[in-house]
Amino acid sequence: MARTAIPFGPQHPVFPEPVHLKLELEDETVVGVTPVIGYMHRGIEKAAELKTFRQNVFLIERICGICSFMHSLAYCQGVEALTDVEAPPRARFLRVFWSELSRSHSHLLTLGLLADAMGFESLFMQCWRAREIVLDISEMTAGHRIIQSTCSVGGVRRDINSEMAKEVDARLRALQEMLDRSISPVFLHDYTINRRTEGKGIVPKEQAELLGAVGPTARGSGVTVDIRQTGYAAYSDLSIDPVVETAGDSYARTKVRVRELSRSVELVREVLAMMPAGEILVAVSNYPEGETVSRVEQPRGEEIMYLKGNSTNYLERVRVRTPTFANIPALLGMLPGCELADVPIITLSIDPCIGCTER
Amino acid sequence: MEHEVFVTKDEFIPAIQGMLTERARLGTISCLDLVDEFELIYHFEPQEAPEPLTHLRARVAKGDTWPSITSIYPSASLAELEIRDHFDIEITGITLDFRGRFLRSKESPEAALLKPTPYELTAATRHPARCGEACPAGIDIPRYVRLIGEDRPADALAVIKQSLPFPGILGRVCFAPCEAPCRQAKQEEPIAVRMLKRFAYDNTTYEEEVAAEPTGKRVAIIGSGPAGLTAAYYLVKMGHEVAILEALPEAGGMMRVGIPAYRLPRKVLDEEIDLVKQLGAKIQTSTEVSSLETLFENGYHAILVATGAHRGMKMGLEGEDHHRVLECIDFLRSVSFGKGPQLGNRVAVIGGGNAAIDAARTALRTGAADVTMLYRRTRAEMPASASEIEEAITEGVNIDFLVAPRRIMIENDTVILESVRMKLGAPDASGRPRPEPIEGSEFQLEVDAIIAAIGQSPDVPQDFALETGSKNTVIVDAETMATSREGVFAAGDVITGPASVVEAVRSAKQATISIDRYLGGEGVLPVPELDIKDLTSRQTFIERWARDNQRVVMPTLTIDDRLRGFDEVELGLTEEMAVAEGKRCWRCDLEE
Amino acid sequence: MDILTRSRTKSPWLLHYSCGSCNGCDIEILAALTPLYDVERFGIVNMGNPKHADVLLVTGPANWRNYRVLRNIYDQMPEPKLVVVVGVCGSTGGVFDKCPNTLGGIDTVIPVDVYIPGCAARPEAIIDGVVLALGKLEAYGT
Ligand SMILES: Cc1cc2nc3c(=O)[nH]c(=O)nc-3n(C[C@H](O)[C@H](O)[C@H](O)COP(=O)(O)OP(=O)(O)OC[C@H]3O[C@@H](n4cnc5c(N)ncnc54)[C@H](O)[C@@H]3O)c2cc1C
Ligand code: SF4
Ligand code: SF4
Repeated sequence: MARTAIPFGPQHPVFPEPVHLKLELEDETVVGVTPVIGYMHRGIEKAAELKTFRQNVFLIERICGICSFMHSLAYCQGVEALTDVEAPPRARFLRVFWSELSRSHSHLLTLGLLADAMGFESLFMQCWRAREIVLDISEMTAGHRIIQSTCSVGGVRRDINSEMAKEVDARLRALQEMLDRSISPVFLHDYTINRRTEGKGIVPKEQAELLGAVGPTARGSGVTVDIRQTGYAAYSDLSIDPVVETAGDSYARTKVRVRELSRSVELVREVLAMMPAGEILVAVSNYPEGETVSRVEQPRGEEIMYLKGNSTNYLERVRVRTPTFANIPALLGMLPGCELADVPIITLSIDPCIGCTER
Repeated sequence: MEHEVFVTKDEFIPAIQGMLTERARLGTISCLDLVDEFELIYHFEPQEAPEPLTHLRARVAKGDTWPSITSIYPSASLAELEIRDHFDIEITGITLDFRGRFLRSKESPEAALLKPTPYELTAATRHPARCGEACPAGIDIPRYVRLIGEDRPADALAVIKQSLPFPGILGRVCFAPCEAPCRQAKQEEPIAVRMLKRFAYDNTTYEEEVAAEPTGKRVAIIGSGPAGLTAAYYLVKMGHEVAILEALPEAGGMMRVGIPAYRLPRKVLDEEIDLVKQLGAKIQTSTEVSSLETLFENGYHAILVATGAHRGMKMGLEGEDHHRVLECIDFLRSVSFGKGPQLGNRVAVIGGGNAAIDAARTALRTGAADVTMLYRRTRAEMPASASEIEEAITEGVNIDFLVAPRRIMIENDTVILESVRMKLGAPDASGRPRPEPIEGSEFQLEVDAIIAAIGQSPDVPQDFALETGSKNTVIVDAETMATSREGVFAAGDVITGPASVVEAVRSAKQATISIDRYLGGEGVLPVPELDIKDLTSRQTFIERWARDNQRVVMPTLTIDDRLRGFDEVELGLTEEMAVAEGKRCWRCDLEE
Repeated sequence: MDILTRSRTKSPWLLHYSCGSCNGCDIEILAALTPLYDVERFGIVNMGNPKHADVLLVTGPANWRNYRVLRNIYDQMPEPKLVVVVGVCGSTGGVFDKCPNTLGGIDTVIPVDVYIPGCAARPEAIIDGVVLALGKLEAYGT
């Protein structure tokens, strides 16, 4: 049968970011896919060698504006390891606080976009309405809606007082209710969602492992990985059970996110309740020396950051492996065999973040 | 870092396979630039998730190659591509097809993920631009225009020289067929491609490459116009022995005896003809050839007929043969050789081509005060180029449109030209409206001399025994320029009728290729390789968005200075003007 | 005001393209479309098609790969068109100043009408900027 080549992107209504896939179709079925990326490449890894290790926090944070806090967290943890500093306990709890806040707004965002791609406008609006609650909390506690800029080498830069904590708790309860009442049930039981995602873009467990999938993409295929289990920041004091589904299709990945979302909101409240008193920032007096690998679990999966310092104000090498970067091979494994109309949904089901991927 | 394993190149692949058997997951690959070598770090995650990572480290000397692990860990492909692009490590065998399943092609360039757009675009990414496609000589116009814009005229000249032996001449007289299709011509502001060529020639020098080893073959070229000179230039460089035989006392053909010196200074013409001589071609002037047999008998292996189109056409009017009725080419030729006739005060020029304009402007310079051109149609149909018409009018030539001569009468010393007014009718075979006389509108014009410039045709001696076609042109194979006789080729106006210098260059280049093949060569023009990058800096590329878009205006002599003699009218661009003009180019060759 | 200008200013259609942004501003643009800010009440509609759009919202610095895409999109938009840059990095290069693959602000590639500051720009600022741009659209019509 004659093959048709269809360019998908870089400017495409479904994606806020430039993704470009060259699809090869036989009739309506995708038989080949070539990713063409680099449209957002800025060269942050290189630029990070040109700025001082303290300035880098702000640059690294802008690898991606959605999981911004977690990028800076991975970086700060790495630099702390290189400078022999340990963030004080309260700072570590606050880090979890903003991390989980980021995770919940990111998951709401993706779920909304997924609904939008299906044409499920009202669900999209609901998700984003709920997301505003999270953003308000972020603004209240960090001073900015999405780019918190609170992480710093040696701790965090802002504290939460008890009044604020109470307010946050109240709002989170409202969010929780919204999730339980409308959003989660729709995603988990709605016929439309089910039909558009079930059986679409399957990656079996072995393949997911081999292709190096991470985060919800891996967990949707039954791989039990969740870097929070390594206990960085304050996660060692919290109970983290990876949310795992086994079907490996878009539906499974969506379900993983929905369940993780609820868990994240719970975690934020738990953290607020458990927060120890004390310092939030310790001074860093020496320059980073040696090398380290720092890992965090982002909304999209595991981020690996390799840092090398040479006892100067500048780092010698900053290497960032973002989760979407690791999930692209898996995406390429999902697409062949699917229908053209499912391409946007399957692509969104790995929650691609091109800003991260291309840095 | 904990769990580090250092491996050498030999241990590397087995170590990776070992990781696979342990079912470790590949995290990513980092690369460090250690000045004289690279270090690659493969981060692996053991099966049990919360365990610390294992790091496999390997050193790669710069310039060395390194095996890809994509056939073991397909997920490594992106990281390996990234490292290859950013660090310049040759990682071999990256299979993007994920074991033949997912991606279409191996090493597909699209999948070169995260590749920073190269700052220097390679030739492969260029596209034919309209200007370059329109150039008969096939000059790489966008490239040289760009080089001028980057203030690198010497490189620009080298680019021009790849396709053309005579940039000095063509930079002055070329009709520039490349400018009309320029994308900026829509706003009537095409890039001044010709002026830039002249700028490159005037302001730099070019080192000619020496001729190849002698081949022992001899070629005779009849006619020393641009066609003959071009062929000679390439043939001597290919190692053939070349003799140009020219009937007139000086070489150059129509460029010497047709195009007036105020457009093509004889100094430039001489320079470029001397170049051909220096390369080793012999030019015998005052040698009219009347038979090809004699040439073959004299030991020439091949002959190129490049005799041009010099025979003026007759108007077919009563009184045409009087000595005060001059033929344009004869007139220009005698002026060129400094033996111009006394025309008198009032001159009428009949015709509307470039030759007519040249005759009129030359007449002004030889003392005529009142020069009138008569043309059958209107300005829109005039074959002469618009800028030439403009120049003629500025210099004071009157042009009378829609007028056709009927009769020439001589009374005492005055010439009376009887003409009739015309009107435009239905289009004729050439697509232009056919002029029709308005009966009863006859009028008379008293002049001192008439110059007839209604076209020329080739004048090939009967003894050449070549097949000829319409208007006496020699019939050749469109590809090889071979005539009906073996070993005889033709190029230039003699095959096309009056055309242009650059057309003559084109056909001569084609003829050269087939002459070389005929003589047993490869038929490859001796074009030097150039090491010129297409895009030198980001800045040049950005600049095109930040400049105003006015075509340069060529500085010219004042009218008084022009009419005083045959000094060159156009003065040439200044460096500043040329660079600005070069920057104006949109570089259509670099667009998708 | 003729009918075209009127409809353009009363219901401008937007097109959003992200260059090398960090996504921060992109999601704020989307947030402006959703219930809390709801720009649709101004008649503003987000379009996916450059040929239908009046206003191009761009985020992020131009880089060596995307500037052609951006220009392509810009060229495809019908006149009168406006370009609104959202975020500091699209306006000047911002935080990505020393990044080797960026070209700087969007105005190195296409002409820009309105710059919206902020890193990330707040939805209120984005709405403000677009409304400011509409003034320009209106001026085209008179
Ligand atoms: C007035 C005028 C102005 C022009 N202006 C321009 C211009 O601005 N730009 C442009 O591109 N073109 C111009 N042209 C056209 C251009 O000059 C010719 O197209 C071009 O010179 C043709 O080159 P050629 O080598 O074919 O012939 P020619 O240049 O005509 O050369 C032929 C040579 O062969 C010689 N010859 C002929 N028969 C014999 C023989 N039997 N034995 C030995 N030698 C012989 C002739 O004496 C002549 O020297 C102009 C032409 C004229 C008449
Ligand atoms: S703009 Fe430049 S490249 Fe394009 S046609 Fe004109 S001269 Fe040629
Ligand atoms: S301005 Fe700031 S928040 Fe907006 S895209 Fe640029 S870096 Fe991200």
